[in-house]
Amino acid sequence: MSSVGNFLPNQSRTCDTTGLPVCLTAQFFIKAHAVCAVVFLLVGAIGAILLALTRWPAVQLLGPTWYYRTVTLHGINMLIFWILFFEVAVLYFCCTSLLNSRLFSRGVAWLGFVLMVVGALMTDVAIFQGRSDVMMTSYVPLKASPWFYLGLILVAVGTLIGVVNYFLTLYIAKRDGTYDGSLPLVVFGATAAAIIAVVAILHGAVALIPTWAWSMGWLSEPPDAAWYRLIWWGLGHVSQQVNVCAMVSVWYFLATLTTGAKPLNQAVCRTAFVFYVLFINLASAHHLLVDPGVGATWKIWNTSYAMYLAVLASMIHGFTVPASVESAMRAKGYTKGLFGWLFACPWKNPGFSAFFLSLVIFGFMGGITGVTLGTQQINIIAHNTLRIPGHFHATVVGGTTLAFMGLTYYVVPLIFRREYYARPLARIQPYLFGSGIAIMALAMSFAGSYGVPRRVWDADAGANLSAGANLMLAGVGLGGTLAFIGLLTFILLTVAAVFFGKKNEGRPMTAW
Amino acid sequence: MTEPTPEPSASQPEGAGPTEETTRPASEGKGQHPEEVLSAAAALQQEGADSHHTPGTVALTFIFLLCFAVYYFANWKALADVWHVR
Repeated sequence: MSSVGNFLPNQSRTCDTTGLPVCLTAQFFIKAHAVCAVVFLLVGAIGAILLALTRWPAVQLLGPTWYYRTVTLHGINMLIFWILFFEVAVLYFCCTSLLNSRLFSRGVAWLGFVLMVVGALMTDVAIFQGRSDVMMTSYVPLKASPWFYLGLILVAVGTLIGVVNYFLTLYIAKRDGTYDGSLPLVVFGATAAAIIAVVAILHGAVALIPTWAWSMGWLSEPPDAAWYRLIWWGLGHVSQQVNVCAMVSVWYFLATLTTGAKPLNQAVCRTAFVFYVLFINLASAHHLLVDPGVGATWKIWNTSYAMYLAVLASMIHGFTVPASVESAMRAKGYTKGLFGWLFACPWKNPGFSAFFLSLVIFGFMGGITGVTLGTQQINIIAHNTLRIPGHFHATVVGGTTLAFMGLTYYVVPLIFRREYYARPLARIQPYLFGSGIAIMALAMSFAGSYGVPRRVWDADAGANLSAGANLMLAGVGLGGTLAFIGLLTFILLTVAAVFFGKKNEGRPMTAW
Repeated sequence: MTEPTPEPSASQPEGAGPTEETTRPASEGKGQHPEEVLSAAAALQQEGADSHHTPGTVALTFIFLLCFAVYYFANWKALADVWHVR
């Protein structure tokens, strides 16, 4: 990086391991967002194990009231809070360290962060108070506490402010000429994620603000249910595509960090990110495939044409990322047979194993089930069954969360400048978590194929479920327990490293 | 900057793997620079070699397509079993 950065005096450092510049303001907010992300991950994870042990008929841990309350808590904390906090951290890292630039504004970053924290706490308190058992989708006419909606709106506004700070940092970096050529691919992907985040947040505002007004008593009628669902999924699904974009960016980054891989073709990879921006919003129509309010032509156009262009983008990345690793490994001499390079990869490095398992679980399990369930005709036998959570646990948890875990194994030594304890445990953690999620997602999918509904406390109330369905629900409980152990291991290792880890300031991080 | 990745020597037979001295990943050694971590941003602005030889990834792609085809058509079969068209 030959260009000169635009850092203020004494407001930057050079990473002892990567040689990348680190803006100290950005470093503070990366830490703050990452810590909050892990806290909300823990809250969501506790909800997850309670749910997994409730869906297992032999255990059925929670009663109905707390089941639906926990579904709400789990969905909101995992799909919104953990992901959004971590993504803002990723954005701040990308726009400063990778562009050799300072963060645009400390004040703006504070504003966004405080709003996100206050909003998230407000929503979680509203859920625990028991007046917001509306589950994550909060479909009207289900009515939650006004604090629930207001909290979500604050989180959305805080995230939007963080995204604006990101865009303004891109602007000053370009203006000050802090980097040569075009944006690095990882920053390009993060920018695509930021653009999609704006689209998602605007949909959220349109859906949630009138719903909040209704919950306050300012509107006599709730928003139209069909309209709400249409707009809400512009938030609900599109925000998951922010995850996908950020996850793919993390794949490219971890591939480079762990194996020295370089993108095979910049133009193709960037085009794939553009496909996400253009078509992913239309793909959210697959949530409405059994809704009577929209026509078949609309459904089929959006899900069997536009959605495939977004899927094509994932397939491009799904090829170019492992191909770049293979290319790098073959260049090092690992050329034996078809898969000699794959066996020679640094599987003991949790950054690599988390990234590659994330790629496999996302592509093979999440991708294949997603395209199939998004087909209108097939959706009719899968909608509202446990197959749907089986799909998105493979994408968001096995994919995004696992990739973010892999990145954390570098964020802590490089940004927090602390070393991990119990490194052998860290090496097996991605396998524990990944295998648990894979078992759970598969079991959910097969249980759904047996007709087990999603989001139902007692699916076997009339003892109507087959033995196969019960077996699969046991698999959900066992896989969920294994994943929870893996996740708890990750949190304990990370918290121990952040607060008590050996400092590595002034020297490179200890290699994985 | 990223350390140059050593090419297999001309005398090294295809598939023999790297020699210990030249290509053992630096990340195996405690306390060393993880070799590829250096200057990640610069690496991400570059492209790989001009010609790519990635038969393993191509094979993985075909395995993926096979899995997709089996799952997709199994679902159409399941649909046909419950939704009879007369």
